[in-house]
Formats: sequence, C-alpha cells, structure tokens
Amino acid sequence: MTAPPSAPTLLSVRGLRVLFRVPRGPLRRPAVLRAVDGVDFDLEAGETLGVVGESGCGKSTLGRAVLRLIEPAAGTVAWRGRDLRSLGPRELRSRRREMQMVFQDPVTSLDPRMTVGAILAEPLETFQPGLSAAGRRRRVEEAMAEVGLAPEMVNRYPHEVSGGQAQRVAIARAVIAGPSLLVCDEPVSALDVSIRAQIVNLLKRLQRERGLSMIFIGHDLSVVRQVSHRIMVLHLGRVAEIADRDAIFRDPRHPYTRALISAVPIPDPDRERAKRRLVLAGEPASVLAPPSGCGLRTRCPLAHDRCAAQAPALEEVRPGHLVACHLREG
Amino acid sequence: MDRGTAPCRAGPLLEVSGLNVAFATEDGEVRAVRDVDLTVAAGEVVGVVGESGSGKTQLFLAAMGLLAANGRASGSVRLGGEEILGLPARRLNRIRGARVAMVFQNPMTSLNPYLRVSTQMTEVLRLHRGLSARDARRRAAEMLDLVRIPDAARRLDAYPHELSGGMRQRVMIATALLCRPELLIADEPTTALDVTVQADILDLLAEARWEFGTAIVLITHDLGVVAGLADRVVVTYAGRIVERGPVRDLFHDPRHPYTRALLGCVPRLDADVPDELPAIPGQPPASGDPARGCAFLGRCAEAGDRCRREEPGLRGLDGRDPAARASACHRDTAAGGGP
Repeated sequence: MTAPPSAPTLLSVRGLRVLFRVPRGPLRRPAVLRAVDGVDFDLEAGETLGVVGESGCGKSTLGRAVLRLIEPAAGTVAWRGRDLRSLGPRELRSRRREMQMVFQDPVTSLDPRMTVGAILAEPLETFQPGLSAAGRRRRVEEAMAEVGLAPEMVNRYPHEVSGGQAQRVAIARAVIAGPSLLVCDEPVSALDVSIRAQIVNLLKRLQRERGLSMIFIGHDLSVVRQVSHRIMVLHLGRVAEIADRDAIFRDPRHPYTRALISAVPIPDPDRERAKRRLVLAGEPASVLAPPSGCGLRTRCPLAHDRCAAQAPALEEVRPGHLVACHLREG
Repeated sequence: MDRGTAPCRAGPLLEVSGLNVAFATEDGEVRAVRDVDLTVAAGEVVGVVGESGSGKTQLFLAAMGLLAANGRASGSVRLGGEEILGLPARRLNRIRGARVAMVFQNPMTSLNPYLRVSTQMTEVLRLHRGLSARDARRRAAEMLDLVRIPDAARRLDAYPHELSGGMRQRVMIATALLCRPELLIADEPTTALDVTVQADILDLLAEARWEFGTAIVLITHDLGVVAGLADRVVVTYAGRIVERGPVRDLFHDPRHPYTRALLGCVPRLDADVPDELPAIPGQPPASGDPARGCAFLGRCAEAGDRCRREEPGLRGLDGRDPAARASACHRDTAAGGGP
C-alpha cells in the first residue's frame, strides 16, 4: 500500500478509531463501544474500495468517520496528503464539496418539502454561489440527464417519485458539484431487484466517466464485487482482509471472508445445492465485549490457542493482499 | 447448500383458485392479486418470487384472512380440502397458529416488545393445544434448543430487544413450529438479516420440513434464496403469476421474459463480473395499474403487437399441465410452445 510517486494518495487513513459511549443505567459508567478499532487504508484517485461485513462490523461508521460526519477518537484521515483534522471549519467546508455521500434509503435522505430541482440546485448554491440562476438551471438539467431522470421530474417532490428515481436524485445531488470522492452506504439495499442493477450500472458508469474515487459500503457481496476494484472485509471494527477484488473471491484467506462468501446464495439450484459452506458457530461476538485475541475466535472452526492469546496483526500475504489471521498462510 | 427435496407428493394441502384481491383506496379500486391459481402439497417447499407490488404478500395474507380492512378477496382457498376463504375470525384463528403459521420479514414487528419470549411462545401452546403453563414452557425451551438458540431456558425470560435480529427470527420460527403446523408461510424471512445468518435460517427451514414434514411457502424477492430450498417456484408480476415450474426447469430454462430478465440482472458470485449488468429498464407497475395488454409490456425487449392488445394467460409449456409448468407470454406460444 504505497502511494505512487507522482500524485499524493487521494485518501490515506491511519489508525482510525471511533468510540461510542453506551449508557448502562444511572449507577454504572457507560460502556465504550469500539465501532472502528484501528483501521488503515489508502484510496487512490479513480479507485473504488468496497467495504463489506455483517451488521455492527463498523462499515457505516467508517464511511462517516472518513467524511468527518462522525468525529474519530484517534487516527488520521489525510486528504491529498493533508490531515483533515488540521483544517478549520471554513476549509473543511470547501473540502465537503469534494466528498459526498449517498445513503441507503433514498426517500428519507431527500428533503420532502423540496422539489427535485431545488434539491439538485442546493449544492450549487452552497459550493458555487457565483453561478447565475440560468447557469444553475442548466447544470441541474445536465445532472438529471446524466443520471437518467426525465426532464419533467424537475418539479416533482420526493414522495412523488419511485425508490429507484429517488436514488437517482440522491446520486445526482452527490455528484452535481463535482466531488472527487463518493461514499455510498448500502445504496441499492432498499431497492427492488430489477432496479438494483440499474443503479449499480449508473454508479459504475459515473465512477468511470468522472474518474471518481468511491467507497462502496454493502452487505451484499455480489453487488460489492460488481463495482469494486479492491475489497476490505471488516469484522468487529477491524480489517480482517483487504485485497484486489478478484484475489478476495479467488483466494480468500481469512475464515470470516470465506464464511461471508460461501453464505451468499447462488441463483442456480444445482450449484447452490452442491455448495460447501464455511459455517461460523453461534452469534457474532458483541462489539461491547469482544473476546480476547482474535474477534472471530469464538465462532471460527479453525481457532486454536494462539487465537485467544493474541490478536492477529494485518499482514501481507502477497503484494496488496493483507490478512489478519494467525492461519493466513492456509 | 443442499437443502433437499420434498419427501412425498400427496394431494394438495393448500389449493388457491381464482383468487382476486382488491383494495378500496381514495384513488379507486386497486387490484393487488388477479386470478391466481396455486397449490402447495404436503411437505413441499414452494418459492414465490416477486418484486414489491407483485402481490406476492397480499396473496397469502388474503388466503389466511389477514387482509387490511379495506381489502376484499374473492375466489377459493382450500386447506386440506376445506374452504377457508371468508371463514369467521374465530374459526380462522383456530387454523392460524395450529395448522398454518406465518413468519414475517421483521420479527420485531411480530413480537410484542413488552412480553417475555416465554409468554409469547407458550400462549400458542396453551391456546391451541391446551397445555399447562409448565408443560408449555418445557416445550418452548425444547423448541428454542432445536432452532439452536444457545442457553434456551434462560433466553425464554428475555425480552425481544435483548436478542439479536437473527435470534429474534429464530424465536419467530420456533414459535411458528411449536404447534407442528402443516404449512409455514415465510414472507421474506431473511431479508433483514446478514448473509451468514440468512444461510443459517434457510438451513433451519429445511430442517423444519424434514423434522415435521411442514410444507413451506417461501415468499421472497431473492432468486438465490429459493434456489437452494424450493421444490417448485412461482414468479409473480403485477398481481399475477407469470411463470411457474419445478425449481430446476425454472432456473435452467426460464421462459417468461420477466423471469429471464430477473435472473439476468442479479449479480452472481459464480460468474465473471460483466462491465454492465443486463438491467431491466423502467420499473414495476404500481399495484393494480389498469394497463391494457401484458403488464410487462413497457419493460419487455421482445414485446409485439399482440402483447399490446391482449393480456396473455398462463398456459402450460411443452404440453405440460399448466399447474406444473406454465408461462404467461404470447411470444412463447409463437415460438412453438403450444397453440
């Protein structure tokens, strides 16, 4: 994970840690939940990093902490080589133009009192106040065409459009001011199957045509595989494995990655019924009280003494392929 | 995962014929289910696949007498040969819970947050089977054990919010199985769950079928979910059945353009990553859109004149009984599938 010599890495995250305090009643001190527990990664310009893991693994928190929508407890997020935490409020605001987010539920992420046109004009008013009204209108029209919204939708309200169209509006809002980074948090999970493919194709096309960097957070591995160049598997707030997309699926080294991949149903009766699944025992460990050593060891069929004694470090098994497992060599 | 096939083929346990469901709304009548015929044999798993608005949920809510107040159902629903559509609530209550159980997508909305798991589980047994409180509690603990909830006796005293999502769904399934129902209707039972938990729950449903001979209707939008578990699959679109068949026929030789498109647009781990997914253009029609011709018309790449004029009926394919293998498409007929 070394930066190319020419341009600084777009985004460089080191030792990122996000803690939440969870109240435990009036007489007890709040518990500390380590939602993100020391995450490192780099994201290059024009690259899509998929982030997968089960609910509670910290993937959404990670996405928000990178954008500083949540204040991290420790670690650095460097944007083109500069630590975001060193920026003042005004500078941070101008950086916001470069980093945008798309959420899971398109309808609730849009202001119900604003028309599609007003929703799309808002980022331009904020980030490009010098733009004339006519210029704004033209940009809104262009953005709508780019994401496949018919021009007449401009006067509709969010509740008057379908879920798929609402997600197109949210995506247009995110890209209209020309960001470099798009963080998508489960952007197709709430959509119908036949609509998902449309939105996945749209995001992939925007990424390619605009040279966007993308962090694509999802629980559906088959969707994440479709859009990502690299994939990071998170477990209990830590990186279990990170590698190029094809390496993750061809040669997953972490038992958790293998369990996730083998649990994805295959829409073919013969292949699905012939599939061997790596089954994890019991329930995911609580983020509030993770086990000693490796967080997976209470569920892992391969766990042994060392896994309880010592948390495995994230180490390289081959260039660009990092695994946090004592058994990583297989 | 191989989740097996049906042990036997008896007469239909559930027989739905000519079922129509309509809702009275401010904008007039909305027809959510239209002319549906469907059977489920004892011990069989039938997958019902469709997107939102396809009528897949309303079909079974209507069959069980659980429609919203503004809904009306007509047609016939027979359970073990006995007509149950339109039965008074008191008699339906005896059927639901005892002979037919239902599991829904969000276990939190089906579980009462103020009652301990034990109370919710034992109520069914005391009501439908007349067990004493003590016996009911023992049976409930056994059932939690069976669905692999660790420390079952202690979990009985938990409140729903103290359990994880996967655990709650296990409690729902355990509760549903307590009275050994002949039929379990599971509506998107794994949609809110993580993939690993989803796979566990699907295994559990497969075991329930083997252990108790329970027939299962698995309602889902996810073709992958039915591939491993269903014996037969029914595809619904805009309130109607557009294709049905044995699971292998349907997946390996899908005949309706919608089924083919749906199978095509799902990204899959067992194939290379295409540059673009073959998406279905447009969106599913709002339920009950009074369109002329075929409901899939606007999204179909193969549509012709006849598709615009008249809605295709469900016809048997390759000379087979329409109840076994059928598709509702004019094009298939033109291609030599039948008259």
